[in-house]
Amino acid sequence: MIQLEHVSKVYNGTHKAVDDCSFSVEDGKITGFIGPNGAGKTTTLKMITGILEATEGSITLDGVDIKRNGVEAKKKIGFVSDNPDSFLRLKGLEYLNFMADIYDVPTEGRSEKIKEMAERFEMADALGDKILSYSHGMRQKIMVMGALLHSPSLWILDEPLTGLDPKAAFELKDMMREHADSGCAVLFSTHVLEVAEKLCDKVVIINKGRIVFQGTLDQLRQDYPEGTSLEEIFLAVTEHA
Amino acid sequence: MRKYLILTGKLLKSGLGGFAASGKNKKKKRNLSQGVMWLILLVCLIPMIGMLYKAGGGAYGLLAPIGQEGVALELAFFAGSIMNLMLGFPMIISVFYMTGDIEKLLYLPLHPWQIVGAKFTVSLLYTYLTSLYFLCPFLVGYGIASGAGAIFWIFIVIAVILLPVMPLVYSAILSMIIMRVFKKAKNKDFLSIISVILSLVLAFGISSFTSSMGNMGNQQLMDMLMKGRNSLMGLMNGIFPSLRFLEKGVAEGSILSMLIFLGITALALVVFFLIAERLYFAGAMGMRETTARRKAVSSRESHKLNRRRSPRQAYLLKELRLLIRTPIYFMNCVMLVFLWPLFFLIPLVIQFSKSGGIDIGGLLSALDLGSTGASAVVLFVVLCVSLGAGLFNYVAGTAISREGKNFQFMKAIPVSFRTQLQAKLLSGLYIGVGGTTLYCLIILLVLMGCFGLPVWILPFALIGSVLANLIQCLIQLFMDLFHPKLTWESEQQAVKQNMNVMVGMLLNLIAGVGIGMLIFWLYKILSLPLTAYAAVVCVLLAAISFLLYKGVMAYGIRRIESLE
Repeated sequence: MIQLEHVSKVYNGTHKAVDDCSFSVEDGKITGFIGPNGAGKTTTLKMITGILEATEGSITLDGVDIKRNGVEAKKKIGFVSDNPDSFLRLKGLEYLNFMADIYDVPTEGRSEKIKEMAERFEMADALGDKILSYSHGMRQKIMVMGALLHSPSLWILDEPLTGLDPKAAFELKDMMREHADSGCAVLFSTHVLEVAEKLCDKVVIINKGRIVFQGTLDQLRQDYPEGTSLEEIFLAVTEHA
Repeated sequence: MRKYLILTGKLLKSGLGGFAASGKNKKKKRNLSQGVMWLILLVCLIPMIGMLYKAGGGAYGLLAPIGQEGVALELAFFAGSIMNLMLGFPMIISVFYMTGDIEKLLYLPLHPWQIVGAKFTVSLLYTYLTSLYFLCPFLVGYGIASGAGAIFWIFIVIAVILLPVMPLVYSAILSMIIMRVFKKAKNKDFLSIISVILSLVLAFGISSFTSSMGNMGNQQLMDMLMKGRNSLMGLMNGIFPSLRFLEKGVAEGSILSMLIFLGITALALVVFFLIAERLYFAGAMGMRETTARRKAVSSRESHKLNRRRSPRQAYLLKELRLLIRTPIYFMNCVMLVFLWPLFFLIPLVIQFSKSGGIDIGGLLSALDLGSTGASAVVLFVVLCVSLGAGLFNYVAGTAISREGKNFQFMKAIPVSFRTQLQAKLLSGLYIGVGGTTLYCLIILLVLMGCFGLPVWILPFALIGSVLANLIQCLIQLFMDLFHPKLTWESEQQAVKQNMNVMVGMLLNLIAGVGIGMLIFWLYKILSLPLTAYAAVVCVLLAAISFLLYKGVMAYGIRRIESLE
C-alpha cells in the first residue's frame, strides 16, 4: 500500500508544484492517476519513488518511509518512467540482468522469469540486440520488463501504455490486473481516459497540484451527474477546481 | 547566407548546451557555480598563459640575434596546426556524424553547403577555444618582445582565425572518406571509434614523417642558417604547405605572402565543400541506425549473463559497457588514455627508420638499471607517466554529467549513493590503471627480465601508479559532482562541451606538479635508502587518496541528494 499524507513539493522556494496531497493506493486495486498536463502527476510519482524529496508531508510504501529508509522502500517498487530512451547501448538481456542485480534477484529462477516476460511481450528474439535498435514500443516493453523483474509488490507506472502496440498494451493491462488481483497495489498515470475507465478500481484526479477527486468511477459519476462521459466529467472536475 | 548563419547559431547554441532554466533561484545557484568554475579555470590557466607568454618573448630574444626569429613563429603555427589536427578528428566525427541531427536537418529547405558549412563553422569555432589559451599568449609574447607594428598584429589576428582551417579540412576530408568507404559496416559505433583512431595515427604519422627537420645533419642546418634572415623557416611545415607563407607574412610583414596564404586557405575550403557535398550526406545518413540480429539469445550466452552480481559490480559493468560502446564517450573519455604511447612511438619509429636504427638494447645496458640512481629514475618515470597520461582520463570527470536526463535513475534504484559513486569512481580507476599501470607493468617486466632492473621496484611502482590514478579520478569526480551538466540533447554536449573536464584536468595538472614537488622535497630532507623512501612516497599517496576519498564521498552523497 502506498500512503501519501499532506505531501507538498515546492521548487526553488517559490513554485508549488504539488500542494497538500493526501491519498492512498490500496492493495488489491489498480489506481489511475489522472490530470491535465503540468498538473503535478509526474512530480508526485517522482516523490513516491524517491527521485524527488517532498518539501512537506510523508510518503510510506508498505509502511516504510521513503525519506527515512529510501533503499528499503525502493526495493518494494517497480517503477516505469515516462522516458524509455535509457541504456541504449546495452543489449536487452544485459539491461534486464543489470536491473536484476540492482534489485537483488537471485540467479535461481532469473532465466525463467526473463523468458516468461520476454514471451509475454514478444521480445524473445530482441534480447540479444542493443536497445538502440529497438522501436519506441520495444524500448517501453524492455523498461517494463526491467521494472517488474524483481516481482515488486508495488507497481508505479508513468504513462506506461504510450507507444505500446495493441498486443503489448493488452498484456500489460492484463498483468496489472493479475498483480492487483494477487493482493498487490498498482498506481499508474495516464492521459487516456478510456483506459482509466476500463482498468481502474479507483481514480485520483490532480489539477494544479491539488487532489480534486479520489474514489471509484461510480462515485465520480455520482458527484458529477451532469456529465455523460468520463471525458466530460474530467473536464468538469478540472475546470471547477 | 542568412540561413547558414542561423543554422550555425542554432547548432552552436544546442552544442554548447547550458542548463535548462527552471526558476530564478536555480538559475542564480547555477550561475554561481558556473562563475566558480570559470574562476577556477582562470586561476588554473593563468600560470600556463603566463608561461606561454614568456616563452614567446623568450624565443624571440633567443632567435632574433641570429636572425632566425621566424622559427619561433613557425614552431607556434606548426604546433597549433598539429594540435588542431589531433583535436580535429574527434571533433569532426562528433559534430558531423555523432550528433544525430542530420536526419532532422535534411527535410528542412536548406542547401547541402549550408548544412556542411554550418557544421564546419561550429567545429572551427570550437578550435578557437584551444587557440585562445595556447597559441595567443605565445604570439602576444613574441609580438611585444619584438616591438611589432600594426601590420604584425593584423596578420596575427588573421593567422589565429585561419590557422585551424587547413587541419580541419584535412580531418574532415579523411573522416568523410573513411565513413563513406565503411558505410555498410554493421557496427557504426565501432566504425566511428576505429575511424578516429586510424585518422589520428595516420595524421600523426604523416605529419611526423613529412617534417624535414629530423632529416638534416648538423652541417646542412649550419649551411641553411648562414643563408640569411629566417632561412631556417619552412623546415617543420610538413603537411601544411601554406604555413610557410603565413610565417613569412607575419615574420617579415609580407603582404604578398599573406595573400598567398589566404588564397591557399580559400582553395582548401572550396575543395572541402566540393568533396563534402559528394561524400558527407551519403556517409552520415543512417549513422544512428544500428543493425539487429533479432535472433533468440543462445542458452549459453543467456546462462553467462544471468549470473547474479553485487549491485556495485553490476553498476560498474554498466558504466564500462556504456563508456566503451558509446563512441563519443569512448573518444573523449577513454581513447587518449590508451593511445598516448603511440604519440611517442610513431616519431620514434620514424626516426628509427630514417636514421637506420638506434641500439636501444645497448643504450639500456649502458644505463645500468641495477643501480640505485637508475631505479629511482624508473620509479619517478612510472609516477610521471601515471600522473601525465591520467590527465586524459575523463571517465570520473564526466561520471555524473553522462547520466543526463537519466540522472533520476540514480535516485530511483535501491542502491545507496555511496555504492553508485564507488562504481563510478572504479570505472575511472580501471580505465586509468589500464592505460598507465598496465603499460608500466609490461615495460617493467621487460626491464627486469632483460636488463636487470631490481624486482623490489615492481610493487612500489604499481602501488604508486594506482594511487596516482585514484587521486586524479577523485579530483575529477569532485569537479563533476560540484557542477554536473545534466541537461543535454546529444552525448557530445555531456562530455565535449563540459567545462568540468578542462577544470578537472588543470586541477589534476596542478595536483600532479604539487605531488612531484612534495616527493622531491621529501627526497631532499630524508636521507633514507631508496626502498624506504619509495615506501614513504606510497604511504604519502595512500594518505592523500584516503583523505580525498572520504571528502569526495561525503560531499558526493550530500550533493546527489540535493540535485533534482
